[in-house]
Amino acid sequence: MTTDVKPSGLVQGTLHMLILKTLTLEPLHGYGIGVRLEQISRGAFQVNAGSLFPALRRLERDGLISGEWQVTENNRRAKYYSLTPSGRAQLRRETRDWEAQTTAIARILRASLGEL
Amino acid sequence: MAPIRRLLAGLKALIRGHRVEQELDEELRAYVETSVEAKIRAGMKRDDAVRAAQIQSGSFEAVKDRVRDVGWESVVETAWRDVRYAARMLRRHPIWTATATLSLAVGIGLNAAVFSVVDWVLLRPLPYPASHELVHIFTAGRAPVTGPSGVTHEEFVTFSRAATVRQAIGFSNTTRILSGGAIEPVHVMVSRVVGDFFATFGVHPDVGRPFGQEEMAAGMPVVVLGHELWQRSFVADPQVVGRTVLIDGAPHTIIGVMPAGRGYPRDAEVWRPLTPAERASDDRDLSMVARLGSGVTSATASVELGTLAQAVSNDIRTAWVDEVRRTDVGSIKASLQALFAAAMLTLLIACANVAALVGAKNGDRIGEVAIRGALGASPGRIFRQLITESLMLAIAGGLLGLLFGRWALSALVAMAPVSVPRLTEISLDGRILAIGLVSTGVDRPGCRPRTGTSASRRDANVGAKPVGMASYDAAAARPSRVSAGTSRRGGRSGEWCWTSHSQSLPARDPQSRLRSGSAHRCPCISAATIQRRRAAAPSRAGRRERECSWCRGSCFFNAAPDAGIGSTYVSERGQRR
Repeated sequence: MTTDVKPSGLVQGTLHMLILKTLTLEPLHGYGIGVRLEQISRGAFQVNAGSLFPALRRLERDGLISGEWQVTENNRRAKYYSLTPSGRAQLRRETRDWEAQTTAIARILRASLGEL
Repeated sequence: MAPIRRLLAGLKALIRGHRVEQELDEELRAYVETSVEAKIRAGMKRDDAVRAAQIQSGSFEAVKDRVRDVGWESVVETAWRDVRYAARMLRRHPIWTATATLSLAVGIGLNAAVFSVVDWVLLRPLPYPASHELVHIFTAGRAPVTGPSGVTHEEFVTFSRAATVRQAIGFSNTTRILSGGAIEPVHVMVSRVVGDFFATFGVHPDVGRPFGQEEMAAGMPVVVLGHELWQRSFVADPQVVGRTVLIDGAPHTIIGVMPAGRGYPRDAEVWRPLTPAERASDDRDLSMVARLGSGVTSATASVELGTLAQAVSNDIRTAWVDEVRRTDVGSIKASLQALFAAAMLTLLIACANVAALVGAKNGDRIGEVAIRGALGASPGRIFRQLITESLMLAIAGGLLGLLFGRWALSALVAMAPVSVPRLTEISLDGRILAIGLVSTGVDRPGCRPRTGTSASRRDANVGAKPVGMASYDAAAARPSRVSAGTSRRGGRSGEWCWTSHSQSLPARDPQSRLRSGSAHRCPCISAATIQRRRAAAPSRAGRRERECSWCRGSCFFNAAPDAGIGSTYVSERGQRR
């Protein structure tokens, strides 16, 4: 499934959270983040450049990630993004909120007829 | 904290705009190239890998636009770019710009000047406290019927005691020679007054004191100078009180100076009390102004004064009141209204002129707008550009209109009768100037729906019919032609558009190339041979500005950064020269 990530609403917030999560292990460049998201979601999410780069710019501006130019394994210059302490804290908050939301939604969806 | 960080980041991006843009470009290239390498490693052929990576990443320009839009500084950058572009457009058509600017200047300036006069004279209250209470009192014969006239001193005294009248003055103007001391003899309008002038009008002298009751009762030789006379003949001397002047040779003592613009009647320059001899006259040469009691209407006062007039004249005469505000402008009201209507008409004609000029010019811009749309510019973006051009023209017209308006206002004031109220206070009205600017500013895009958003929705082929569109192979730096119909705004067929990559074409006259068939046709006019505009310096947006030698620099291109001289492109903008 290809995500057509829209600039507003839950999807946008989710993309930010997912990017933060992919960077918890190690710094990655733009393409690496997209591939990592696709791998972890087992192909469910394919984030194109038009969604990925604006999200990276926004996160960097908010101080949640920081970018640094490095050389890739193929001897090519690329901008590697890493989580900042603020980003790590933000990820914790968003994960907590997300879990609370999904739990509540799941509870509603699983409600029996009697409970409704 | 986050807003401050965003503000700082925006400022940093504005300062390091070129570098930020380069980094973004490099990052996107790295993204595509890494993607291509990954696909080749996965077993794809290079060409297929490039095409797949390109389709996957989408239009570079569209991605960059979305990234740029993240920060607030993109608004500033876009606005600044629009301003520069608009300035360039206006500069390239000096006669057109001058005609439109002059039309606007005349319309805005004249309108502002006339409205300023109308506002100050007709719309604003008189410059006295509770000016609606001030009325003129007129009398007229009932048998035989005569026209409105002034009052005798006897009638003045009677009317002053009416229950509906709080204070009143009578005055009679005459021209006299003022001389004495260090001043040159000069003809001045002397107003001989009876009653409490300053209390009636609710004003106080700027310098000195008002007339005392005894001075008025005895008709003593004291005068109050008009403000302009004081400035003109007495050099605004604050010690003027107590000095003696001669009025037709008779010595009078100056006791005060009237506040600026508050004297009444307005053409008077000296006020002195009516003498006992002048009071004895039966002539109806006294104009009477009264301040009605609080809450008393003109109709009520007219009934009472009419009754009094009939009583003292054995039913021969009657009297009535009319608001000073109305009687003062009565003679010029119709003229001012007609002048205002004419000025409005002038502004409408100016707007229509500019709209016609724009309409005539728009025919040349359909191609430009269509191709800008095909290159990814949204209808809103194009509309903003058009609005910016309109505003620039409106601002230029407004500034010139300001000068013209000041001149027109001076002329109007100079031609107006002295009795017009607030004449010395009239100044150019900024509100009407702003309204003129806004109305003419929004007038232009409204007149061009076809070249505004609708043209941007048209197929780019409309603007570039003779040329094909090509996608750009970033890895191989060579064009691969695709059909023109496949290119759409924000589409995936590539961000660069050109017709041929002809490095080997000789750099000769484009017209001869056109004749020989070696050059493709330019969408803006007819031919396009591209030469470097500047020494390969990329613009802030990472593009290279190139000029069409046929259009002589009117075209700007989204050119591939590493494409060489002699390449032929679809231009973004063209103008017939």
